Amino acid sequence: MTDPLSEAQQEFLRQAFDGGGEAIRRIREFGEDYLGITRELWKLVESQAASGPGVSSQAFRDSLDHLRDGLKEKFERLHVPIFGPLQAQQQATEQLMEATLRWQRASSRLGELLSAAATAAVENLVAALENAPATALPVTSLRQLHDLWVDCGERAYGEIAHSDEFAAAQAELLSAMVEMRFEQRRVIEEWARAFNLPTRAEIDAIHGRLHELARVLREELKR
Amino acid sequence: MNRLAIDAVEAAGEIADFSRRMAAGAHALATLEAPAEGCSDRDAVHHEDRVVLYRYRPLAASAGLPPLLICYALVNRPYMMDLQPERSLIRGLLMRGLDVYLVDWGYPGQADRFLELDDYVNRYLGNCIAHIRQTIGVPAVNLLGVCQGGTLALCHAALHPEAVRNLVTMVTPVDFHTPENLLSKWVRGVDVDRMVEVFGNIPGELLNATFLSLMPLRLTSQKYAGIADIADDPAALGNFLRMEKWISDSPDQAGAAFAQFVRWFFQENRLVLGGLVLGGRRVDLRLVDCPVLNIHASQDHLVPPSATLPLRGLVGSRDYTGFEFDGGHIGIYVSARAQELLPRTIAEWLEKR
Repeated sequence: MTDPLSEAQQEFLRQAFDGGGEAIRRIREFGEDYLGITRELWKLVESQAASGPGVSSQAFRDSLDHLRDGLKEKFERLHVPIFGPLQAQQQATEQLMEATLRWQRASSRLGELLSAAATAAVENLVAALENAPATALPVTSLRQLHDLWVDCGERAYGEIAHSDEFAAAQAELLSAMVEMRFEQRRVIEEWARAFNLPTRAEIDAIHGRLHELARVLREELKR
Repeated sequence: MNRLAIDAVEAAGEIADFSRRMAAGAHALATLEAPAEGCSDRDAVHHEDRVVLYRYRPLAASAGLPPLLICYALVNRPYMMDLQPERSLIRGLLMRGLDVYLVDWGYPGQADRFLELDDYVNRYLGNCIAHIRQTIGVPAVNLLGVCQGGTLALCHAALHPEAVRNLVTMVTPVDFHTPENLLSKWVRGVDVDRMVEVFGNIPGELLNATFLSLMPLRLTSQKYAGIADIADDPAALGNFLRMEKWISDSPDQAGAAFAQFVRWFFQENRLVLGGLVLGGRRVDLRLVDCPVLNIHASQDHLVPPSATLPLRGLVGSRDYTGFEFDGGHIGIYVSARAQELLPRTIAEWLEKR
């Protein structure tokens, strides 16, 4: 059964945007594409998990790259001119999505480096077990094996963690997270303002003024 | 040669035994009382904002030395210095007749996000020292700075040399740009001002995660697997719980002070390269002319020896003593060896000055 209210709303939006229907269509398409990519990602993870250990991670990485490129391309198509009564909200939403995408990319990049460290750790462990000098003690318990794996893992991780590449990836992840949080907060504060609620930015401004006043007062009292 | 010699039947037995011991350990941990924050008796003698100055009650006849003020780091809680009776640097110092004070920075709230390093180094620490000098009637105090607190203490001693009679620094970073310093390498590319603009205060959880990621397997998987080894030792489980509480008890960091510390020390290495200004005054380590005892840990993964040893060539003091402790950043507070060695080293060094 058709909902008359929904129909009326859609008609209102059609008229209000007057040509902005194209924008709405693109946003809807983007949403559908995004869900599609998420579905594909889960299928990929599922198939990788079912393959078990020992499968080359190159194919998995290639598939991830393919999905990411697809998402980027679809995201770029989302960009529409900003206009109309909700343009501030549209812009805020776009910026938040861009920041989220950047965070996903950064997270994925760091994940790749950690994955490389995990692979190197296993290689180190195999070498430590198979190519040990004659003087090396045998590994006779799982606990000893675990401790050896920790040693090998820390060594592999340490080499990657000290690289400029890792430092850059970590800094980018932090930076992306900060920007995503900034955009999230901006959206939340817009809502808070709409309901005449105090915002973090306003309280920070008060604290800043208080801090400065206290400093001036201390200086005056010293004189 | 292949070292792997695990028998399948024995491995199955090992898994069963490990699971049983882990379950027993978890059960025993659940029955323990929540650990206290510190074990020695003390009195709060001065307050300012969230900062509290404590004076510890004596445990032995006075050694007749000027009071010793401990300045701990901002990033963790200072009860690590007084964890339990048999693992307490503070107790060791009290047993040697020292008059021990501790500045507790507290837990900064959002209202503190504009606090700067100047507030910590000049105002809070300065007012604590002024309180001790006035109430005890001494011209200067002995100052013991620990970890980041050592860096703050160095700045204070450079800016107010008249207030510090002797300076002891423990696992204190000075040169932040040495190659072994992983933490420093990681933060050099971070836009810390933007981070503080968005976060306000920096969450302690974020710092904790960063510290853990310096040695992620050793500090998580291996550490927790170790519960199986102490499952039937209530005292060891108690120690474990105390350490766990301390490790995760990381205060949020006042935003402005955090940004300044990261930028000026970690990124710009100003303590070594120069250009550090606090409260409108230049911090010049050559003005630290009091006797200095610098204690470092040979296996410190947070403050590598290379980060602290350059202090010798930077301070103006002609009376400089270096002391190496064979252990790590945490072991220097809590290991059995440290309990006897460090209080004795510090007390004997102070007695001679």
